[in-house]
Amino acid sequence: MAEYTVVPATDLARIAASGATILDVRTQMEHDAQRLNAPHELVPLDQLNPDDFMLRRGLDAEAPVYMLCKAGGRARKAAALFAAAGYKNTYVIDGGITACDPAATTGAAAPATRAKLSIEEQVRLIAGSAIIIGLFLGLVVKNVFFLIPFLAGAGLAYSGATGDCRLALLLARAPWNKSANVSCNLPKTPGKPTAGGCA
Amino acid sequence: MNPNVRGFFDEATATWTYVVWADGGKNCAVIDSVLDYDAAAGRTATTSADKVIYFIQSKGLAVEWILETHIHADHLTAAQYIRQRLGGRIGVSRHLLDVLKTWQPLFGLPMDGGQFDHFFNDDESFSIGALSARIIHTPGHTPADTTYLIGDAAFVGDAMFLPDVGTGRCDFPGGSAADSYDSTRKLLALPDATRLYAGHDYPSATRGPQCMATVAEQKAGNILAAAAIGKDAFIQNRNNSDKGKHVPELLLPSLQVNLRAGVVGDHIRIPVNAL
Repeated sequence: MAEYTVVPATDLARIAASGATILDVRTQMEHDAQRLNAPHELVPLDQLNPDDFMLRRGLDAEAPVYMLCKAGGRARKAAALFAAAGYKNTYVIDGGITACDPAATTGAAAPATRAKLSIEEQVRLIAGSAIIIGLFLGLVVKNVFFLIPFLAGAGLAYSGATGDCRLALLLARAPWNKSANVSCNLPKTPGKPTAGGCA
Repeated sequence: MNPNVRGFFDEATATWTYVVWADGGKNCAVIDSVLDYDAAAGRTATTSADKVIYFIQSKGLAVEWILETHIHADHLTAAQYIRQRLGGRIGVSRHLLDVLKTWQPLFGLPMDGGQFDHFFNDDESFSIGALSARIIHTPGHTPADTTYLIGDAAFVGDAMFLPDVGTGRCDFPGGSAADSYDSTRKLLALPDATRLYAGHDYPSATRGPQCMATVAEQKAGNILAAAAIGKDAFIQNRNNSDKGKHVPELLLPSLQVNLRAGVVGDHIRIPVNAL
């Protein structure tokens, strides 16, 4: 007996149109950076209480809930949590927001033509250029310049072995690499009342 | 027996509509339905009500009651429409008849409550299939405000909202902050685990719309009516909060339609300089 059902991310448009509840279980920061354009709830997995979630939103025990996370792992945990609490119509959006059509999301990671290199690519460009230039200078000018390709090679080997790259950390501080969260960071305004509500 | 509850939130008017039914039961009640209304164009729509109808049909339920917690001033009820589509009896507090006296002269329309099927007396018991229900008169927001207590769930209309929102305004004709306070005490006297379902939610930007808080949570944290807050302080805060408030956008269309249980007719009357 399946606890929950996994659905492909391509179903998302249909799910959103049906008005079913979509629950994003990522962190606030991840959500700020990239989130669905369609109405959805956000409750980070570590704060998620199934009964609380369902009751406070007026959802009965059979109301369908679609779990969404970055790649699908946390969504499966959330779905299992709901299933264990007795909620039968729980779904997981396979592949998470990563698998979603970028046009369906909004945020800093939203679709844009790639105007610049990633930090990884910048590291490779700098290391590769240093090697070529250092070799050239060493051959043509002075042997001491061979130190440059030596250091570049050592740095590459070191970062490959340890996953630690000093150059990448340094580059991350550069102004052209600061993330400019250009999304308009839409606040949640469901329930925005008409002028003169009842409260 | 405790009810199943499904809530539907209408973003345009921030209204919560509820469908209530017993586990394995066939009969249900609809509470505070919404008829969509574009005042500028004078146009009604049944989009919100159709979602409720679709849900009821998909569950194979039969509508026994269509209940109004009060005569709403912020949205039109879809009670007539739902009764036409699915049957059921439209119920409201008997105090409606007093409210009619206040508003009928304003509109100059025939209004005698005849469009309602049942007037509940205070503390009257009734049933929704196998569910037992009871009326609690909770005036203050309006004189006829009614809470429907169904098992461990109480549908309080605008008597109380979520703890971080507070309570319903009391500045409409017939409204009373003193009565509202007394009504909150009646609700907070219910068992701690009782779930209070609100008629509206006006969430801040940090959360999405929610419909329910328990009596315990309301006692502890309602910003206007927590257990620790005394009557004088409540009245002062309530009245201060209501000072200079805008008239709800749909007040005039809502009242004349809702006082007739959702009958819209061909025209909406807008009395000028009469409020």
